[in-house]
Amino acid sequence: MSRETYVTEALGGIYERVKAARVLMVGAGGIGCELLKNLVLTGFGEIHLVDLDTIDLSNLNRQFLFRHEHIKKSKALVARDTASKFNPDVQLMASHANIKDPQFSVAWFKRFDLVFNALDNLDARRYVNRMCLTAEVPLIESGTTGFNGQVQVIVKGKTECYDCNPKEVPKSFPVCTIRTTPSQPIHCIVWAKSYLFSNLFGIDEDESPDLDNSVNSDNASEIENLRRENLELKHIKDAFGTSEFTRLVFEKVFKIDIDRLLSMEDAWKHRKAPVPILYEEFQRSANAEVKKAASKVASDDQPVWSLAENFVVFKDSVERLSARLLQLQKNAAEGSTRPVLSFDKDDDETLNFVVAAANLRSQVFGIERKSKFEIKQMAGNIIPAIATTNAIIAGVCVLQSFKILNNDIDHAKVVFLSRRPERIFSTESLQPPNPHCGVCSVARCGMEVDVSKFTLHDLVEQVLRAKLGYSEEISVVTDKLLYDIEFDDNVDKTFKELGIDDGTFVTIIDEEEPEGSTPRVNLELLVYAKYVIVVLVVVTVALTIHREGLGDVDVNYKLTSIPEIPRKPVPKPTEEANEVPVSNGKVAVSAGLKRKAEDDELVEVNTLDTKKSKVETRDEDVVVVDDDEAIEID
Amino acid sequence: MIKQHPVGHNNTSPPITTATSSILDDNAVSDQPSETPSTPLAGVAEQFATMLQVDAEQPSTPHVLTARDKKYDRQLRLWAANGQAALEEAHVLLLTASAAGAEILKNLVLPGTGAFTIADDKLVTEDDIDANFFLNDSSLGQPRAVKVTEFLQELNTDSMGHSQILNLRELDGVDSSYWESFSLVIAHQIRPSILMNVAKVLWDKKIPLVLSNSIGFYGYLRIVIPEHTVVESHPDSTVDLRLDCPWPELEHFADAINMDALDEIDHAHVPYVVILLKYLKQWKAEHGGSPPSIYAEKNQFKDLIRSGIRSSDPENFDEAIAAVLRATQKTTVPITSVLNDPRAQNLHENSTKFWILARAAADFVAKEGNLPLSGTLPDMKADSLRYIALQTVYRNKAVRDRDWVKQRVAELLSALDRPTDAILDDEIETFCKFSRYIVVIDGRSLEEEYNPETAKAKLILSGLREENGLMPIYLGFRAVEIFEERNERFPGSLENTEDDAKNLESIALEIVKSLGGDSLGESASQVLKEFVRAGSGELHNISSLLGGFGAQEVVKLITRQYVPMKNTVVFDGIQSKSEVWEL
Repeated sequence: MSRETYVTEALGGIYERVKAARVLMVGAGGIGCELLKNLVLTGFGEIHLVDLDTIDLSNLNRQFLFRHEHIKKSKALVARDTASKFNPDVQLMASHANIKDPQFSVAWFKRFDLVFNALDNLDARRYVNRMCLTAEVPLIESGTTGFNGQVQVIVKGKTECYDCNPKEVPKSFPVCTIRTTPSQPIHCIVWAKSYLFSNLFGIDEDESPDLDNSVNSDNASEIENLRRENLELKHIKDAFGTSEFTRLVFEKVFKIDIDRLLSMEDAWKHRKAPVPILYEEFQRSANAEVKKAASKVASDDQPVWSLAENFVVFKDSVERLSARLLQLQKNAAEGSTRPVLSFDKDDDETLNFVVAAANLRSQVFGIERKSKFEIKQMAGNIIPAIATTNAIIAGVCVLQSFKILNNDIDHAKVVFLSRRPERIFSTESLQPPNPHCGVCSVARCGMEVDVSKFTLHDLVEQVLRAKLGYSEEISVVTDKLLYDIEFDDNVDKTFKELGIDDGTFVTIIDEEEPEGSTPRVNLELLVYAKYVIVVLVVVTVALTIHREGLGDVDVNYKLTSIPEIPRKPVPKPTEEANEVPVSNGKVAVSAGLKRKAEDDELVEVNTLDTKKSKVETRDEDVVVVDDDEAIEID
Repeated sequence: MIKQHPVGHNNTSPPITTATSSILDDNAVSDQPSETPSTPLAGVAEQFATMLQVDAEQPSTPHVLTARDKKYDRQLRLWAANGQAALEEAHVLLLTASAAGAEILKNLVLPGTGAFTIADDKLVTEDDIDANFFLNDSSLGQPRAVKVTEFLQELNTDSMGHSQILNLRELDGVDSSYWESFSLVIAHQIRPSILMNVAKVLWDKKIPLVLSNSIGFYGYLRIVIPEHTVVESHPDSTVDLRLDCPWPELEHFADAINMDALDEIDHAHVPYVVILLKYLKQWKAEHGGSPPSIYAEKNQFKDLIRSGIRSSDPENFDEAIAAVLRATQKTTVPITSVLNDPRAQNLHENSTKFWILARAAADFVAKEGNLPLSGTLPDMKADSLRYIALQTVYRNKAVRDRDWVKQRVAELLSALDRPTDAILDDEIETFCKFSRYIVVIDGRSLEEEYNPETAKAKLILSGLREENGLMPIYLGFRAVEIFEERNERFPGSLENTEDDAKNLESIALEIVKSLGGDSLGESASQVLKEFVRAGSGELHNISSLLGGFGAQEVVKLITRQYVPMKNTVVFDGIQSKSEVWEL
């Protein structure tokens, strides 16, 4: 069989390396399908595929490995099956799983020669970036949106990493704008989706990433009022499933709450005051005006619905969603967590609710209403996606992989694709790492501990202070702040209790700024959990006894190496001191709070928040753009 | 603080209108009588109230959300329902079922192109299976056209696939009506002798032809089309503020706001458009009627605006200062060559809608001195009432302009003995909105490119001398074409490749000489060696890239949206570089 003639001819010397390569592909969506096809036909020896997503109808316009009958099935598994059907010889492994699962450890990443990111969200991109830096595996990062796309080669110590440049983070809105003073359609849409929907059908808190709940002296009293409103809404939920429920909700949010807002006369001196709307009036007029059934109205996504139509859809969708939730609750096993509904732009009933509720609120505030088509895009963070852009970007990814396999990083490139007709894509040379980057310009070290015994106190005192010479002024952070000089509530907790386990990254931020110098760069400790097995118990006990005699002795941890932790470079004069290279969008917020920190009662909030902002990859700060191929083109 | 978004589109991302929606119909204000209220604020508050009531009776056009809309949702947000409809009406012909051709078609079948036909007479070989994802061992020895059509058809049942077992030499004799069933033809790696004839027929019939080729790491794409007009070019922004030449209502609106009488909060919420209008007026009065023109004057003008700041949070003034450069630019008509084009000026019975619209726009410019207003108002700091009032001023003008054009189009149509509704209101509205950004591409034929008399000799020869330029790759494709035709095989396909290399080089030199050059240059020699080394090897990855580029251009041509490239692109997978030339 001359199965390889074409490629060998064209690829020449690289082909042997391609054949021997073991690569990981994270994501089997738009870019992923194209990439998998290209990797298979280029002859890559072993391909691993990880994706947690399932196939949706709206994927089929570009994700050609999937068909109608695959809807709701695992992307990774179907992609593997389809690709192997056409090319039975290829070694293809697929996992329907989250790349952040502990099974995909640093050691697992190290098995690959190369990792391709074909992801759709910032959070996972950052995570894989960090894993590849730690495992020292080259990464090819890619993304598309509409006609635009980008490919970036990331090699630890040689090139910029994904986080060397700040990324634009999806916008969040101040809670008061959403709840009290909306002025744009998007404010009403966020209200409908992140406040009303979640309070009625979802989890009982407004901790949505769309909302910025920070309290300051300006909004403290209003935030208090809003909390009261939340409570009142919860009481209405007692009527859940009764025929009264829809009316109660309607009157609460479109009449009672609005009346309360109107009572704050000062707020409406320079704004158009909201006008409450009445359930009874709609109830009377809607039947006369809307001849169509609600489902018929809702199936029409292009025109802007009339008020009466919005009312009819609102009523209908509240009833449907209530019935659905009740059914779920009935079916739920005793003792399991209470089932909830979550907004999904492709779940028509949830979308209809958001459209109608948002438009009714727009009416109240004199804001223009929007069509279902438009609201779907705004509520669902929909990113346009087409086959052609994905095909081009996936092709470029493979071209870049040849440079890496050929140890020719100097000729690897950052490639941008735009819809400008003068040039199809433009390339830039790879830049060296940003010395201020908090993700790649850090010190790293592995630490083996028994997470069920090792405490935060042990870490701070034994490892950081005694062994590594840190001062008192440090913060210890995972996905939350665990410790700093003013926050020692956790010191007696074990790693296990703090949620630190095998594979967790613990970041140490040096906050001591010696005269004429800078703090040390962040230290990233990667935890290897060592569980004491029976045979070792004796030894451990012995050691423990020994320990008790001698006080704190470093017997119950092991560092993989003694890391060298250089000082940070002197910041460029233009940079504000507070703006540590942070890219999670929290900087602005914390900087703002800092200025208001004279206000005593706010100090604690401020410290916590500022700390958090100094760490780069923190899930809760990131609004996941939950569709294919979101990218950030700076 | 209140920030208002422009209604309809924002100015940073591509608009996502649908065929039937537009900013002018987004709410009922625009359909109000267009007299400017004497006191802008009071009048608008009323209109605003009316808008909320009127909406309730807004008729809804029948459009039912189907599974198909959901499947195509992510692309509808780029080219909207009208683009999708054009795609679904299209029938694309592919000549030769190569891997690259299949990849182009794949990217057209997935988004729902109405129909495709593959014409080819070869049987599937091992090499085909290597390079084409959709062929496997079971396809071996079967007709390539049939097998590739089968596999592509599986991707999307909305697209109707046909195959024709046809030797491309027979194309010479086909009835010219054969071509008329296709909206566009894609030809991959076809011999010049066949290609030139096909290209000629299609050129005369104004059917777009897209050529592709790929060898080793090199790819080539050429669009051959005599005339291509685009209304929806999707500019980054359609904002057109006319601050240098405000129409009476706009001027009146600005005059009616007495900044000195406003309290601090109101003062900080005056839209920057009004601030600029006021200070421009003051400046002109102090400078003999002329606006700030040179750099120093513009800085003085910025200082003048700055002197008016009263609030500690002067965001609206900052916006005004940031917009000074744009505001002091004279509003021009950027498309005069289109408006003056004989095709617009001398309409005839076969004139396309585009040229009739262009003529109406030309007449509008002759009357008004400017193009119809887009009516888009950008995001700015302002209180709701004043923002909406200002937006209404812009929209009303846009509606008036559109109505004039509509009237004129009807006159032109009846003069041509065509029904006055031959051009729909939606089309006129879209044209008015994008009139500053309409595009006419007058392509060059393959004949013009290949004939040394009309070839772009200077461009090609200077390109060959450019360091790291990609023109040598273009030359390589041209030389390989000739080599293949003469030898009935690709260079590099025999054991001994040295003769082929020499042979290919002498063919390339012939081409260069025919264009008036004298030598190939070092980089062209290197590239030719790479062509010989790669043989006829088609790398799937390059075919896939080509499939992406090619289909993207086809979609632009079929939907008549976005601006297609002019007219040749070559790319180099070794350097990850591409270059575009008009050849």
